[in-house]
Amino acid sequence: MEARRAAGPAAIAAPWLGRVSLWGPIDALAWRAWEPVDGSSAAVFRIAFGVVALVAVIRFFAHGWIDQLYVDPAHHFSYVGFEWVRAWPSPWMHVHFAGLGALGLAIAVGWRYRAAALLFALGFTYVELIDKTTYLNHYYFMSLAALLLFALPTHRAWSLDARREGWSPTAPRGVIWALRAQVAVVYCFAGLAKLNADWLLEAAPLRIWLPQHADAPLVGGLLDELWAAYAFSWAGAAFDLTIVGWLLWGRSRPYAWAVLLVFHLITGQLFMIGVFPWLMTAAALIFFAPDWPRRALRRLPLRLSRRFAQRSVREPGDTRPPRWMRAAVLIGLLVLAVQIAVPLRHYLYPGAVRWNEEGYRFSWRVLLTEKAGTVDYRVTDAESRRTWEVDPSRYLSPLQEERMTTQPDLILATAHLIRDEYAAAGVEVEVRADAFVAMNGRPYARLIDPDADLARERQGIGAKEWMLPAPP
Amino acid sequence: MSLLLPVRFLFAAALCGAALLSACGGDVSRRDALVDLTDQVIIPRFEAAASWGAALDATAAALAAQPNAGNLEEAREAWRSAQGAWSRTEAMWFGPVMDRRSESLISYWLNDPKEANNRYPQPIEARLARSELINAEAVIEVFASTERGLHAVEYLLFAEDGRVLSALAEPGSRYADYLLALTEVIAEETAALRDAWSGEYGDQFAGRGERAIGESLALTELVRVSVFLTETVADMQLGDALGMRGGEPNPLAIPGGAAERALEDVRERVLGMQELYLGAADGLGVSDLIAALSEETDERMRAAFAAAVAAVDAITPPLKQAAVEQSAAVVEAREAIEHLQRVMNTEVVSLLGISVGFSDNDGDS
Repeated sequence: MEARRAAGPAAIAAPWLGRVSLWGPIDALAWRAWEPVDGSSAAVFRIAFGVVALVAVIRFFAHGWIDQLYVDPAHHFSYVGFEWVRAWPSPWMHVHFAGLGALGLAIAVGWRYRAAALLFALGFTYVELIDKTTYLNHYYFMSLAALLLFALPTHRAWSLDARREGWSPTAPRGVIWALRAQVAVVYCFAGLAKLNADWLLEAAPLRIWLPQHADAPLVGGLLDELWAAYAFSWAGAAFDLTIVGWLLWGRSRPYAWAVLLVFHLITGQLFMIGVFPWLMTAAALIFFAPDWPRRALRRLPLRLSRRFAQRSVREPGDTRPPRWMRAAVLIGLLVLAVQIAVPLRHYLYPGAVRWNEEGYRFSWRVLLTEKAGTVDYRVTDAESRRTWEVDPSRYLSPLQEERMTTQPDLILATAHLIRDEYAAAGVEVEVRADAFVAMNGRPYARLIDPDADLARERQGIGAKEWMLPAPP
Repeated sequence: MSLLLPVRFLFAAALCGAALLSACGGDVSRRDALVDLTDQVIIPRFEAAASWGAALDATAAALAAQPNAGNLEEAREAWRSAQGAWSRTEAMWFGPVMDRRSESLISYWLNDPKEANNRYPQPIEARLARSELINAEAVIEVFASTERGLHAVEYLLFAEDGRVLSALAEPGSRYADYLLALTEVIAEETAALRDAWSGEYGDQFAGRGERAIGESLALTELVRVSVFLTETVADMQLGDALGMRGGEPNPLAIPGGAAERALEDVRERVLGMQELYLGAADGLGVSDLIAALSEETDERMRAAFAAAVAAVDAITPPLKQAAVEQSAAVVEAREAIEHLQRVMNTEVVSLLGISVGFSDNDGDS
C-alpha cells in the first residue's frame, strides 16, 4: 500500500489514466480520493445529519409551522423559474413532512440509504422552494448536504445496509474531502460576509442584538456593553474565517472544535436559529481523523461500543480508482466552483447587497444584518386616475408580511398580487410602494422609488432599477 | 486526547470571564427602564382610569337618583374624564387588558362598513327597546361589545337633554338600569386592571418575583402595542375616515359619538405612547435605551411625537366633520402619525433588537 502510494497513479498505469499531463492533476486527485479510509467518521456525519433532519421535522410539527408557513397562506412567494412549485393541500403537507422525518431516520440508521438521501434531498428542497420567505441558510445547507450524502457512500459503516450487505466499513478519502469542503464553504463565506464596515467598525448588528439578552443569567450585564458587541463581532469574524484552518491542522483540531462547540452553544442561546448550531457542531466533526469515532468508542467501557469499535478497517485488495472516478472528481470540483461562485454573484449587481438583497440568499450571510421596514401600497386606477392605499396584510400571513417589508423581490411580488387581483375584477391599476427600511441602526430610508409603477416591473434575476441606493 | 477536556476548560474560562465582566454593567438597564415605566407611568395611568371609572359610576348613580341638569352635567364631565383617562392607557393595552378582554367591556368600536346594522348607535337603541333584565351581570355575559362600554354610556348621557332626563325619571327606568349597569361594569373592570398592574402582573412586567417576564418580551409588548396603535389611528381611523384606503370617506371609522371627544382621544393616545417612550419626569423610559444606542433616533422619536401632537392640535374639531371635509389638517396629522409609526417600526424596533411581528420561527439570515 505504502509503496503504491509513493509511486502514485503512474505506477498503476491503468490505460484510462494515460500519461497526458492535462489530466495529471485530476488523476492524482482521483487516485488520492479513492484511497480507502475508515468509514466511521463519514458514518457519524450521516447519522448526525439524519438525526438533525428528524429533529428539524419534529420541530415543524411541534411549532405548527407546517400550517403557518405552507398551508394557511393564501399566496406564496415563488423563486424565479419555480413558480410551478405549489404546497400540497392539507393534510398532504403534513404527510409530506412525516415522510421527511421517516427519511431522516432512514438516513441515520442507513436503511436504503441512497434512496432515502435522494428522496430527502428532493422532498426538503421542494419544501424550501415553495416560499422564499421561509429561506434559511441552514435549510439550504441541509438540502446541499442531503444531495451530497446521496452521492457519497457514507453508509459503508454503521448502517443497516452495511450489515445486510456485509461491506467493509471503509469509505474513499474523497468522501471525507467532499463533506469537509461542504462545511468549509459555509464558514468561509460566513466569515467573508462579515468583512464589512458595519460589522467591524460599528459592531452592527450585534450592538443591537446582544443587549436584548441583558437579562440572561450570569452574562447578561456583559451583553449590554458596547465593547462586548465589538468583541463578539471581531471574534465571530475571526472564528468564521479561520476555523476551517484550525480544524484542518491536527495539533489545533481538538481545541478548534471545542471553540466551535462553545461558539455554537452561545449563538444557539442568543439567537433563534433552530437546529443550525447542532447541525454545524456535528458536521464539523468530519475534520477529525476518519477513524476518530472508532477510537473514541474503544475508550468507552461499554460492551456495545467495543463491538462497534472492533470492526477495524480491512485492507482492500485493489485500491485502483474505477474509470468513473475521473468524472466524479471533475463533477466534485465543478460543484465546489458553483458553490464558490453563487455567494459571489452579488458583485454582478450594483449597490450594497445587504441593502438591495440582490444575491443575498444562498450566500451564507448568517445573522449579518438587522433590518426592519414598513411598506404601504398606493394603487391608482389607470383610467380614472383615482388613488387609494392597500394594506398588504390582506394578502400575506404575518410572517410573510414581516419578511416582505425588507426584501425588494417580495415587495415586487406583493405589488403583482395586488395588480392581479384588480385585473381579475377588470380594473387596470398602477401599483406604487412607499417602502421604508432601517438597516443596522441607521435612520429609515426609502428602499423603492416611490414613482416606479411596480405593476409594470417584471420579476427576474436582473438588477432592479426601481430600487434606491442604500443610505450612507 | 479526550475531546471533553478542552471543552470543559474553555467553557469554565468563558463563564468565569463573562461573570467577572458582567459585573461592570451598562448605565441604562432595560430592567431599570421597565421598572420605572411600570411604577411611574403604567400603574398611575390605570389608577387614573380606575379613579375616573369609579367617579363615572358615582355620578351616574346620583343622576339616576335625581335626574336634573346639574347632575347630568356632572355625569357628562365624569364621562369625558373617564374617556380621556382610558384613551391615555391605550398604548398600555397588553397583559391584563388582553387577558381580561377589557376592550370589549370598556371601549369597543366597530369599524366595518359591512356591519352597518350593528354599528353605533343601533345596537344600543335596540337594547333599550327590549324588555330583558339589564344589570351588570347581563352586560358582561349577554350584551354584545357594541352594546356596552364608554361609548354606550356616551350615547345615553349625551342624547338630547330632555330625552335623557325624562327617560331617567320614568318609574322603573330601563334607561337608568342600562346606564348604571354599564358604569358599574366600567368601574369594576378599570379597578380590576388597576389591581392587576399594582399587583402580580405589574411585578411580573417590572421583573420582580419568580414569574418575571423577560426584558425582551416586555419591551416587545411595549413597542408592539404602540406600533399597532399608530397603525390603528393612522389607517383604520383617520385613513378610512378620509377615504384614503379605498371606498368612500367614512367618518364612522373614528370612534366616538355625540360628546365629540374624538380629537381629544387621538391626542390622548399619542400622549400615552409618548409617556411610555419618554418615561416619567424623574424616571427612565424607552427613550433612554434608544439614546444609548442612537441619539439620532431618539431625537427623531421625540421630534416625531412633538410633530404628531402639534398636527393633531392643528385640527379644528369636531374631528369627524374635519375628516369628511378632507381637511388638510387631518391629512397632515395622519402623515405625522405615520412618520411616528415608521420611526418606531423600523429604527426603534431595530435598535431594541425586537420583532413586532407575530412569528416565532427560526431565522438565520
